[in-house]
Amino acid sequence: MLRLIIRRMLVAIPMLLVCSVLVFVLVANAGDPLEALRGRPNSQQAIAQRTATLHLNKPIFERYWLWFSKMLHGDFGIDNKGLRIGPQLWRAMGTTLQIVLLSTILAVCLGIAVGVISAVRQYSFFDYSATFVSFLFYAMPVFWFAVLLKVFGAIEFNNWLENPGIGTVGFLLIGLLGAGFTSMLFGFKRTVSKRRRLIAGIAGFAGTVLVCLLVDRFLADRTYFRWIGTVNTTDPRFAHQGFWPRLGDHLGHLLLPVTTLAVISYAGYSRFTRASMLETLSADYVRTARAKGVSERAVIFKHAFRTALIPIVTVVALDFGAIFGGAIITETVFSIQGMGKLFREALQKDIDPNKAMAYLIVTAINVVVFNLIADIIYAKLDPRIRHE
Amino acid sequence: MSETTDTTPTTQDHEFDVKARTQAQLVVRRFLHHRLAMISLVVLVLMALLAFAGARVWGYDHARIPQNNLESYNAPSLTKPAGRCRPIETVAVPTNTDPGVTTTVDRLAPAPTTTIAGATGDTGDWRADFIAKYPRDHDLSCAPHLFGTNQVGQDLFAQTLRGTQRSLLIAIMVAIVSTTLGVLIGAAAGFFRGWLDAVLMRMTDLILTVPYLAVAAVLGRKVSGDTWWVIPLILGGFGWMGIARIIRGEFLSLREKEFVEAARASGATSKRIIFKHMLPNAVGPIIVNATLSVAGAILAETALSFLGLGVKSPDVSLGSLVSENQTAFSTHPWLFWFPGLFIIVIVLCVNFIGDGLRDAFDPKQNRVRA
Amino acid sequence: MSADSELLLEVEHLTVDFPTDDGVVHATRDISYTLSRGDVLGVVGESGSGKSVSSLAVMGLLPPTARVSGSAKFCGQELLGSHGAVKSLRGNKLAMIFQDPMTALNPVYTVGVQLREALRVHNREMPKREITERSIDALELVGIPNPKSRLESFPHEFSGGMRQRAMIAMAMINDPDILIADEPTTALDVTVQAQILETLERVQDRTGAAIILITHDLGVIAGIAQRVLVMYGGAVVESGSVDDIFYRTSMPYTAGLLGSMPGIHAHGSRLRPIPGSPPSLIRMPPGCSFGPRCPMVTDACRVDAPGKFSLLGSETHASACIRRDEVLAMDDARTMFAATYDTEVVRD
Ligand SMILES: Nc1ncnc2c1ncn2[C@@H]1O[C@H](COP(=O)(O)OP(=O)(O)OP(=O)(O)O)[C@@H](O)[C@H]1O
Ligand code: SF4
Ligand SMILES: [Mg+2]
Repeated sequence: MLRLIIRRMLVAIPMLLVCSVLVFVLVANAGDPLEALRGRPNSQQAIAQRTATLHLNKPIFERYWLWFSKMLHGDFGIDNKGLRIGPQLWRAMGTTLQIVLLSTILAVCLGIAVGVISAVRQYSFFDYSATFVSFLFYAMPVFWFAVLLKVFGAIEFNNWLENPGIGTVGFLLIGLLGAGFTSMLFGFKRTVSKRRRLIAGIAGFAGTVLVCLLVDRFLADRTYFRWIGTVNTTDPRFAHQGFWPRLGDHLGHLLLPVTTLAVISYAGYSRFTRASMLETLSADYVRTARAKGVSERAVIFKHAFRTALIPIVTVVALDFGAIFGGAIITETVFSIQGMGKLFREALQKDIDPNKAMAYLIVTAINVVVFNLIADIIYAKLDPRIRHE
Repeated sequence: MSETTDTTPTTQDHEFDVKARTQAQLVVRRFLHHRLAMISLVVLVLMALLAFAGARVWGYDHARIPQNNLESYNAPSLTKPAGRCRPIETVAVPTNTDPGVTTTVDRLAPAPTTTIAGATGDTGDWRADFIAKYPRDHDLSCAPHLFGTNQVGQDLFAQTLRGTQRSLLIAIMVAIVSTTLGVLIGAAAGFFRGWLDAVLMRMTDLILTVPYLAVAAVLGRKVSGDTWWVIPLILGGFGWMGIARIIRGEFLSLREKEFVEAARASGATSKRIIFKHMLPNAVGPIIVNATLSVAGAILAETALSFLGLGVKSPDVSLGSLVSENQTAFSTHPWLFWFPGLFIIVIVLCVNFIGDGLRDAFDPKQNRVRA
Repeated sequence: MSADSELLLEVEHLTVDFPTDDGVVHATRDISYTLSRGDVLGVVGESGSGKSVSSLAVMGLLPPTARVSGSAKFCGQELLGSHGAVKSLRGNKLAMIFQDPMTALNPVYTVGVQLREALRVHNREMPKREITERSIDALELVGIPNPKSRLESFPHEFSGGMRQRAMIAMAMINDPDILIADEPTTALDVTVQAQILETLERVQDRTGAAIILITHDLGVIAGIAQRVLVMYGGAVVESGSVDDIFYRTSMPYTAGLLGSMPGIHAHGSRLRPIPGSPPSLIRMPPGCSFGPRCPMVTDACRVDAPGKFSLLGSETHASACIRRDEVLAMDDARTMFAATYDTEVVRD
């Protein structure tokens, strides 16, 4: 295992070096950091100063070397406003990593769960609806979804929190969901008869409606704080409160951006899990397990699912770059001070090369680290790699 | 000597053609039987027709801004817009004799003569006055604002059609660029293996480490109104990695097949083996992925527009429409809904078609009715 | 070997259909046979003739889309249908091994884990130590050297032959009464094939299980089977003892199979596959399904659906051919294909 990690690192480090060179050249040619300044009157001094800090009159490779040697010491230089980038960067990275990690975990868990059920119950109602929902999510522009979520998920929900209660429609919907859930839970095995499933469904409906009634009684005449945040990651009103309220507030703010990012990758993961599961479910070794008399549940989870996980890890790993990209958009919609914000600031009229570089290189490092973790998980899951 | 070496491959090619043709027929038949994919194809073709042909005959231009302010934020409607476009127009027409006279005028009929002859105004012509007040394009169009209008009164339906044109065009260009690059790189890596494979695959990994969107955003900064075609080049130029990996895998396995060995043994050149023998066998994954990359490209263009890069006003794409109108959502929701729904429907259709193609090409799939 | 002839398996009118987009695939039609303790039953037929499907049906391993009818009784217990007893018997009394040992073992678990699992699912209370001991014994029985350390190996560390041995060990670990071996040697090279067959024979000697051996290869059958089912187009077209099939052939298809066997040729030395290709299982030809390829076909074959499985001379020998007596009377039935084969060559 250690050998594997070291070997992967030996590949990753030169790759990051090459990446930094290419990205540096890219950024250097992407625009003139003095563009806006030039248009302004009496800006001679400012131009001279910025030229000096960015070494604009030096050749590009010397500039790269200056940037690189500082970067190795964790110094990302100063931005166009004259502020140090380092502290901004670390703060932003903390925020973005939270969102990216939470959404990846959410998307992976949901995607795998739905994909597995879809595959096991291929061509069932669940399969068709899950497939359709995945396709729908897959077809939505990230920020379009984010704006919808902001309006319906947050503003309307907050309004509801101020005056909570479950309407008739709510009862029906939640009841139906409950019915579907229980009948699926009981009907997981193919052999369960339609009638048993129906009975389980009706019981589920009754149970959920009962719980809803209790909750509704409980909610009546109460009013709650507008919990879900749509701007930033904290609410200043909570700054001086205890740990739990602060955590609650934080989660309320993370909910929407995390959901947005998760939903987009969820679609891909659930489709892929379904395909991967369908393949392993029809594999010879699954037939062998059945022939041995292993129970259907164990066949699905111990044999089919365990093997289906292997390619899923690769897909998730390939997706990290895209998730960081998606974070740029999500952070903008929800006004979050993360890496994406930093990056967009860097792409103003005057391009801010240090800031852009800081974003690109740190993101690349993050992606590489995540990929390394994925590689390790992959090797853990697949003995054929482990023994290589 | 040259005779013999020439004939062997030809017979092989011929046999191969026959096989390929029946295979193609099978694929087409399977695709035609895929109901969802066929519906999607029809919907997509209709939308493309609407976008490219419909935009020409629709009563409004996507860029023209009316000079009256009655058209600002009109809600979608099926009836013709208020405030203009009435065949019978009540206009206060100043006359020489009686400045207060108001008369009813049929705007589409020949100019009335007697009662208001010698009308003044800036030009002394009532009709000119009228037209100055209600400019021509909106003047003569009695079409309803199906999708409403935006703040400056531009017709959203016209804009959406135009945006669909642009988005489809960009997406198809992206698909062509990324598929070509991906196939070439993947084929080279899979066929030659060795150091070339290693270099190309490291390059692929390298590009995957930096978010696609970020690179596109950095590169896209210089794009202006008339260089919109740079966008698909950028998106395609950094979007080929997925296809390259798939084609590489495909080629690695095709390489071991008998007919490739046979071709190699009969002395065919690498170029010939790749293009004549292997590529036709990898056509399934290529077409499927090219299709799916159209869908991805539409979304990528949208994301880029959101960052303020891409197609620039007065030209529009579906992405630029939604991102321009995102702040209007709570007050004028139609501006956000319509272009967004167009994106969703197009991407959904393209993905369904891609899925149908995959099913049609995949010989393992023997879809059994439950 | 078959000293006591206790009836183990009784299959009657087994029919399996698969509804697909292109139509209903009639994978097997009206198959009946019996199997007694100690029997080795050979099943031969070309690819796609329904050999695997018929045995998977008995094991209850067909995909849920399959429509199965007929009956299969194990010691009197019905196996088929939703209330069938096959669930509890599978892996315990009935065991099966498959064609491709490369894919039949789960790549992510060690051979030991998979071997122990087979034992544990039927013996929940068995102590760990005993499970391990019996796993080692099972590997030893099939001739895997160093069985103890081999338990910790992953399938990819085994050769094809060793994997098939491991499969046999896994199938035999619960002392089943019936072992279905679906082309256990097809994917292996010749020397290994012989070893695997030998292993099967040894295992059978030790445990007395009945074996259904599915194969393309009549040579394999001749070596170890006592009775043979010849399948074509989803149906049994001839059945009988090994001698019946080899020396009293009474069905042109069987004759064709014999003629295509390497080693024992009627005349000349070329391997002669039966000209033509197997019938579509969706649209069967009218009358005899072998008609389109049969050198002895007559108009009666196309009209009259033969299939009427009639016994010949001995009580166990049956054929579906309406001209069976003529075939039986031939000196060497294999020669009948010579003419077809020659015309085929001429046409080329
Ligand atoms: N799940 C399925 N759906 C539809 N058709 C099927 C299915 N499984 C098997 N068949 C069809 O049933 C027929 C019999 O298949 P089977 O696997 O029993 O043949 P076989 O005699 O074992 O051939 P082989 O020697 O190649 O193993 C084949 O034509 C196959 O296409
Ligand atoms: S029934 Fe007729 S066609 Fe069929 S095998 Fe016998 S002779 Fe041939
Ligand atoms: Mg088979």
